[in-house]
Amino acid sequence: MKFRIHDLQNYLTKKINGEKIAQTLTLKSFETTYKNNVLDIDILPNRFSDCASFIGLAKEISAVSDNNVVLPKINFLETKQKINKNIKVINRLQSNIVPYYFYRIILNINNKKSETKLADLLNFYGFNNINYLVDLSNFVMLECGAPLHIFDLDKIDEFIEVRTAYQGERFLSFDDKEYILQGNEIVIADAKDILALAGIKGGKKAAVTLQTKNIFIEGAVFNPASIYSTSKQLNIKTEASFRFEKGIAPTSVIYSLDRLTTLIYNNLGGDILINKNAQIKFNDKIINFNFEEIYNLSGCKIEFNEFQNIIKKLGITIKRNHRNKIFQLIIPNERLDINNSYDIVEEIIRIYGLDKITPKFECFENNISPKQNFEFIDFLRNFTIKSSFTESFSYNLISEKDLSIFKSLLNGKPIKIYNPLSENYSFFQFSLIPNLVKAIISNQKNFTDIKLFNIEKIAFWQNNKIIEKYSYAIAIGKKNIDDIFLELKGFLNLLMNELKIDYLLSIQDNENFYFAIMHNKKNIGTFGFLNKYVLNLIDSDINIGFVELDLDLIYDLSKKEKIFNPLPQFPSIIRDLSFFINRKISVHQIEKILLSHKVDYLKKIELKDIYLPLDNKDTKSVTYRFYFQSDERTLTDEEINQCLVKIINILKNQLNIEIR
Amino acid sequence: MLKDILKNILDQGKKDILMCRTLEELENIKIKYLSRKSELMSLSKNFSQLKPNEKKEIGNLFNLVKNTLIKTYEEQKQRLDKISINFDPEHPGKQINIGREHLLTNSLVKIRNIFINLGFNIYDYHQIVNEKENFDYLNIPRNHPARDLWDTLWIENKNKKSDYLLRTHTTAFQHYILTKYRPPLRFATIGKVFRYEATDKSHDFEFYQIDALSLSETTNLQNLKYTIEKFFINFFHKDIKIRFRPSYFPFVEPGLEVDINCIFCNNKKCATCKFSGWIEVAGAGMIHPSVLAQAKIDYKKYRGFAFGIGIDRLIMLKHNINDIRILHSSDLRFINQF
Ligand SMILES: [Zn+2]
Repeated sequence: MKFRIHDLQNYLTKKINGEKIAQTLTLKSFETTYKNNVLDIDILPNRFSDCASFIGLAKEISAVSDNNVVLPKINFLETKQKINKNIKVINRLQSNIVPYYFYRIILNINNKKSETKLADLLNFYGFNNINYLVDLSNFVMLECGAPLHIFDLDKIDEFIEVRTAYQGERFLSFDDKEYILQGNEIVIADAKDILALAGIKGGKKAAVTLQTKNIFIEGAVFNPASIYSTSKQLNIKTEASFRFEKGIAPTSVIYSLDRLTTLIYNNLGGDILINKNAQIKFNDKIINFNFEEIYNLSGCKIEFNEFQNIIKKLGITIKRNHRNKIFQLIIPNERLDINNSYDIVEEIIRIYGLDKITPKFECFENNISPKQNFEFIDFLRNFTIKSSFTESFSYNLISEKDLSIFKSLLNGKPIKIYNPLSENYSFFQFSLIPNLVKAIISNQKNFTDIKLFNIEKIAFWQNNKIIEKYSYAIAIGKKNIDDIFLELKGFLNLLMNELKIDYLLSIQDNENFYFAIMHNKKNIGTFGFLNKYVLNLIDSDINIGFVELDLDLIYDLSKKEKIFNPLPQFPSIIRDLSFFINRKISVHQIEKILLSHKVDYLKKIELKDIYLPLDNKDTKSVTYRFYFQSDERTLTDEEINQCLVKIINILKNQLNIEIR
Repeated sequence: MLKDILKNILDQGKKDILMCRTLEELENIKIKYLSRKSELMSLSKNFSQLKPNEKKEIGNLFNLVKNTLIKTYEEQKQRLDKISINFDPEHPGKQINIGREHLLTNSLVKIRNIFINLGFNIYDYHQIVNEKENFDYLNIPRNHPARDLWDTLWIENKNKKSDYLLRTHTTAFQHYILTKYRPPLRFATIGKVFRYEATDKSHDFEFYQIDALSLSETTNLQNLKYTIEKFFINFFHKDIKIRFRPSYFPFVEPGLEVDINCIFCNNKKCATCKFSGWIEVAGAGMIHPSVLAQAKIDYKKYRGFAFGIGIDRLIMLKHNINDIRILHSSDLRFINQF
């Protein structure tokens, strides 16, 4: 909110130094900048009720600097004549919805156009000039903080009623806009029509014009939540609604009402009706405060004298001294934000100086250790990076198109966003693959061989519950699909070997080339490739393959601590064997058969090469490397040859191989 | 005379040859000392003018000098041959492909470690939380204008708005921690938050925050200041000073805005700090008694501090990135720089 220095100066005894007060306000109250005799102040939402006015801000300035407030005079005389022009006012709403409804009636006014000085001031603060009466009420809102509303008394039918709207009831605002109400809005009505949308906008019917002679001034307090929800629902934001939804103190309303009455009386004349309704006395707002709380919360040792000085500047008074440093403090009624001892400490410490808080370490034993999988995630990240995959970033939201393309990776129902920012971000990701694939596509114009991974949250509905968990995925994008397969498979083997988890691939979805990664008949992930149709759909020039693993499951299955294996004492001897075999027999079958037979000294087998001869479509050439080792001695050539013969015989008998 | 000159040539020549570090240098030195135009060789032209007995003596000395230099040259050449490489030293070598961490996760891990060193437990909490955790337990009731501070993405269920939402701040973990663990405690959580917000250079609808809280019988604003200051010193590896300003967050009281002194201009004022010398980096305060009460904690006995920091902007400040959308990208041209 912007304030001109000279508008504030009227309410302070000492001259304001704009530059200096901006700095002080920033450190003690609100972020403030100063330029060309104007203070731009970011008043905090909970201080709007007491600070968003000339007087309120002048009080704040006097609290944080060496200055004193002068309040404008309230001076008007109520008429002694008996005039039978009173109107009945009925508040039908409970005190939590409309806690206070004050008003004042003034008759025989000569309304006119505002003088230039007032008109200019209102223009600076963003108000249009309507007529003197309306302009004065806007001025009082700026000066004292409470939004008041003036109705033309002669246009009101029979009575004034504060009630909620009927469902479908129409309201015509002063600027000729028609609103159809839902039934939960607070309205000010007469016997026939709605005169105003309470606290938000005035109506056309009883609007004040230059011809207005007799007026009804409303000064009310409405429930902030009601004003907030109505203004949101109807999408009307006005200066009044903005103030009401943050709360208005009834004392400010009374003061504003008296001030407006004074200004009208002095500038436009008129007879002010006697009104008991606006002469209410409010109870003091009292909070019990323990002086020790200042030290307890802030760690600052403030002397009692200083405490007294500070609360005096804040307009807080000590009602009664108790023993044990507990005081009854009387809080200014307009300070809606001060409700407990924390609030009082906040006030004292900011005036005292937040810069006087010295950093200090608090020592206590923190002996809680929740179990979470950070270490495992770090391990996975590092392991994958070491294997030359680069970590990608992904938004956690995906599009409807992603959902339809990758639906078979969804294990439940997708989580839909009720109010998505755009179609592109309308579901929570249920798999990391859609975003990894996007990352590959966005990089393919600059890179040819793309290897990415990601660890992030995925989520979906399962049995009416939201499941949210970490997932782990890698993806490779390059021209040759066989290379992708071999790299992915090689990495998956390496990882699962490291984690000591056995697995098998089983065909899951033929159409999509998806394999389920199975461990003991349990699905722990997916290994897959995008088919030509999908690649086309997402505009990819290269092939893309991926592996996604359920992070929680592999964490549970993995061996947590590694145990040292004694180093072998005798050398291992290596022999390679190449042979032709039927193309339909998988390497897995070969290995299964070899491992099911006990061959002496055979410690390890390793697939070295597969090659498909062009001249024979039924066969393939396979090379295996065999490692032989004894724990007792170095093996002789003869022993190893015997083993190899045994292996060849097994393969010949069972798989009908032909040695190359 | 001549003897002295020859001896000098021998001494200097030997020294120069042994000083050579490359074959190229050595060949230049050879030309200097042993070519036909060298000082040594030009001396031999004067020998005919010498007396016979001198001639013999000088001649012997000349041969000794010449042979010693040749021998030294050969030896040095052999030595240099052994250590010199046949490869082009300017060749970049074979390209090694390595994997890289994303700058964001790298920073998150560093931040996590700073908090562990400051004595905090790190707790990873849900990104999808219910309305109460995100708002009500934190003193932000329905129809309160404070809710406007957090534009929310809601989850749909059965074609209607559900009670679930994408957490708008990591503070949503607070109620869970306060109800599950008993004080004294120190907890921090790091992760993604979501806002219904248009994207531009400095805003994105997904971004990262850290939230930390400490609760004990003695926790106060001094401890809060210590923790935040230490965090920033460790994050930027610079001597950072922080300052508190009054602010408002419904779940803390007093509510504070935290500024750090501008790391670019050292309070001399620049565009980054909007010519104030300070950069706003965090929201903080003492946990509001009603937040403690909602978690059934005796707020007369225990006090806590809490603060939240937006991480993306810190990373951008530290590494001079001017667009959050670059930080939030998988563009390898960006990732490979870190
Ligand atoms: Zn700066």
